[in-house]
Amino acid sequence: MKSSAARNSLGPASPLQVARTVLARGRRVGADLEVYVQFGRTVNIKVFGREVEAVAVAEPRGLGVRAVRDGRVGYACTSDLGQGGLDRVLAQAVDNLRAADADPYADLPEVPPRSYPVVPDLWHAGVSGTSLEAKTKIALEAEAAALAVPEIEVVEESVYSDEEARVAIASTKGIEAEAEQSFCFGYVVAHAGHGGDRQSGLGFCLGRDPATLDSERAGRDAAERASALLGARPCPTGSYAVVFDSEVAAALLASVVQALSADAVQKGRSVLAGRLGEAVASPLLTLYDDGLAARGMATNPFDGEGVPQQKTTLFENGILRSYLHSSYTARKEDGEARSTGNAGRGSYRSLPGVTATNLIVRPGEGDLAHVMARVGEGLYVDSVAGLHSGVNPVSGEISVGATGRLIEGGAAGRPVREVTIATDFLQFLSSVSDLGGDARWIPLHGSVRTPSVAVQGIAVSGT
Amino acid sequence: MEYTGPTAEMAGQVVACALSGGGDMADLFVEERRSLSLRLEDGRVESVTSASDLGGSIRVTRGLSSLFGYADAVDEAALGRLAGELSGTQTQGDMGVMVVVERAEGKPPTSMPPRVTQKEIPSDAAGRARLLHIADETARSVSSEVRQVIAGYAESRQRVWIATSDGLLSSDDRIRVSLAITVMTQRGGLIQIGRDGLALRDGFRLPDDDEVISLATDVARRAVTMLDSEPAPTGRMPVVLANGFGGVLFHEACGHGLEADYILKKTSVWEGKIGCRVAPEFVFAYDDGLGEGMWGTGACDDEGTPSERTTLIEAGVLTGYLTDRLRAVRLGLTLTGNGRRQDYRYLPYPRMTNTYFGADRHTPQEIIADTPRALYAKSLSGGEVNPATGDFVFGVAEGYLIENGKITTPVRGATLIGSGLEVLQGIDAVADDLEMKPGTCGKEGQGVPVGTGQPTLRIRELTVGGTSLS
Repeated sequence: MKSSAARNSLGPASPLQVARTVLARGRRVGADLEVYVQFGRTVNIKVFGREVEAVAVAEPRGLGVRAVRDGRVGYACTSDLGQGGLDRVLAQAVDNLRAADADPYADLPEVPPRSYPVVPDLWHAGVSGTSLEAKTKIALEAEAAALAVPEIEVVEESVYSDEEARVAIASTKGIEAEAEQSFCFGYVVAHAGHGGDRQSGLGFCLGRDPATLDSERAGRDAAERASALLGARPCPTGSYAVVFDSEVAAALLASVVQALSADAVQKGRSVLAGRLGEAVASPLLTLYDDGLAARGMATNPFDGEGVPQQKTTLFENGILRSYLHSSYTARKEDGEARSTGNAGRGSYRSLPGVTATNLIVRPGEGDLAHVMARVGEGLYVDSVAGLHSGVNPVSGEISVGATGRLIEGGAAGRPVREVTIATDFLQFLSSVSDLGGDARWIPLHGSVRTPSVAVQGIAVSGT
Repeated sequence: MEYTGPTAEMAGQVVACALSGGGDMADLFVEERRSLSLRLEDGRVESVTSASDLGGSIRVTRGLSSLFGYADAVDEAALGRLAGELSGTQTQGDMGVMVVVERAEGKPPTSMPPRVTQKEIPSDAAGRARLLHIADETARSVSSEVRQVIAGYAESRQRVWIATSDGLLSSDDRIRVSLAITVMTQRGGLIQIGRDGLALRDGFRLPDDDEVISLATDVARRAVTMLDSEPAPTGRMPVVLANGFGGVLFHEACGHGLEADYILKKTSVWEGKIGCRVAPEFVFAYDDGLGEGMWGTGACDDEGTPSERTTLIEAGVLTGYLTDRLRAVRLGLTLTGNGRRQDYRYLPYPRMTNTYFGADRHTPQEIIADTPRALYAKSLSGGEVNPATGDFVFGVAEGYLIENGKITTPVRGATLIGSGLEVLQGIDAVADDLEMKPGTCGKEGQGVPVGTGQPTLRIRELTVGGTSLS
């Protein structure tokens, strides 16, 4: 399993060739077809106790077929790219559409774009050109950096992971698109201990070239975050001005943006329905969905159904400017909207659905310490738990566990744990009172670039 | 033509080849999976999706190091090539004890007959679509305040074959059928949702119309009830957790911390606590991979170890951890059949199967009547734990206040937070109404089906996080 520096390390047949083959085989099935093909190469290395715990190398491949006839949609996917597999997946997709109900708006994107945006540097030779040994070293260095901090008792895991992916889409409506990209990341979970107290922290780094990963910083971040929480205890229940670390702000923004999906809006699942043009958020908040952002992990020339990605303004100085659209949700607006290139797919296994690409918050000024100084008294939240169960994307309610520090006299005070914070989408958006200038990319909840964010009037439950 | 699994001879050769470069143990995991899912929203079945997967993965372990790869194919050439690549790859770190197995002799499959009545995948997607329409129409007929109904149907048949360098070839055939309903209600600006589902482990038997009608009616009524809810209270208070969904408590507060990977790394608060009193004497807890009809049940785990029922807490004393092969050997523990993985693309880890607290003698009515003031958590929406600190959090999907021994006002937006060691000590009453619920547990980026359950129980005090500060 040697790593190859060759550009065509993913094999001779391109995904687009496979997609064309499937379309050709499906000429007589009597339905419009869209074929989505994904080839990948992934490396995942985990170290523990200064030794390799696991190395996994894989070359996943698969395809999905969307069949549409008279507004009925069928889908089938497979990892079997042999002739039998291709014929079966075609037959299943067409069979399946018979059981679906007709929707006059269900269709494939009609008009192929004249051209796709050119996005440079999505693929970097560094991922395939770096040896397994060198990649292992990245994880070991990150672990060592965390262990070098005296309070750290154990590093639960240090992981290096990368992926090269080539994706192609072809449809009977004439869409043909193919793109290739690479990315890599590392993360560390460190545990600090003192007496009987044990606290944990996460650090990460990401990029398109392993050589650019700052693994030592990831290890140090994890260690410092864990150490800072030693001695943490709940704070008094009350209403607080909360400064959200950029990592937490990213998680909350990614949750809130679910309500900007046109699909959620059209199906009555969004608290932001019918609010276009209104001042929904604080005038300090400007938020973009930018599918072409140079350093964004969700950047791609086209979305999951072959529509060009773009930059869309969601909030401009607090005013709601746009929802996120796929070709389906745009069609449903009867000419009042067009796809914003937000038909995302988790993989070839799923139909396209409306998702954000890279969310980008316009930053304010000053680093985290400046934001705390400006807030004066409150709570700094550096991690939240229970997002999956604690955020209701329909009602907009948010209630999650949190750790962090009190903010006293404009500076970070004693550490806090075992508290919950509660708010809702509209309150969160409208009560933003300050933004830092410390924007950074956070890859943990989709792809978000945000600074630390201060929000007034958050309910904190502790002692 | 149906795939019938690798031959014992081929599996033995592949495993032997994988070990030929040195290592303690190697195994081959082969999987075939077929699944079908349908989704209804806005009164329409908007998608019908099929998936077919066939592939195999190989693992070679040396000391605590695992080398892993997979192929989206199961023929001898593909698996042999993968085995050869893995045996030729060097990893850094401790090479451990070098054991070279010349040839692993495959044994006939040791599979237990799957306890299913109907094994063939029916091709009738329209029959499934009909059930979703029944769910939709039933829920909408409950109230004019029902705004949206999402109903999903999913079925899958997963067949696995596991060959190990010990010469064992095991197999299992797992069929799962589920139907889930989400109902959204609205009154003015207030939107609420109700959610529940059916999970069947009875071959490809479809839910009956009556089961779907009863489920849809119940979910819709609950979503309407939540429109009368007040914001949840905030602060420390007693909590009564209803049976069924309340089992998320054991899963998060304790179960994850008993998984042997955390124990081995000493990153669990439960490490070193075997034989210690961790709960009152009327508390019992189990992980039961053989539980009849439960969502996480299988004949064997994904390393070929036969499933079993493991007692984790007996009369308040911690008695066991959940192991996979790698960690059991290192820790000197017995195999409990908990080496599980999402599919052939992933390494196995110690994972729960079906976990639950055992029943005690009280009735739930007695416990509620005996409670002056508490939060009653009827249904939980899932949770999360940090095994190192034991700190957990979970969301209350449907909650009420208990006032003077009676269930009163519905409350919304509550989150429960606490620490595992403390919450188990704080259980002060357990009822006799054990019920199991299906779920998907996430760990290491892998989702596996699990059952969680419990009888109604009361916790002396927990932190409730809501929005109401009064």
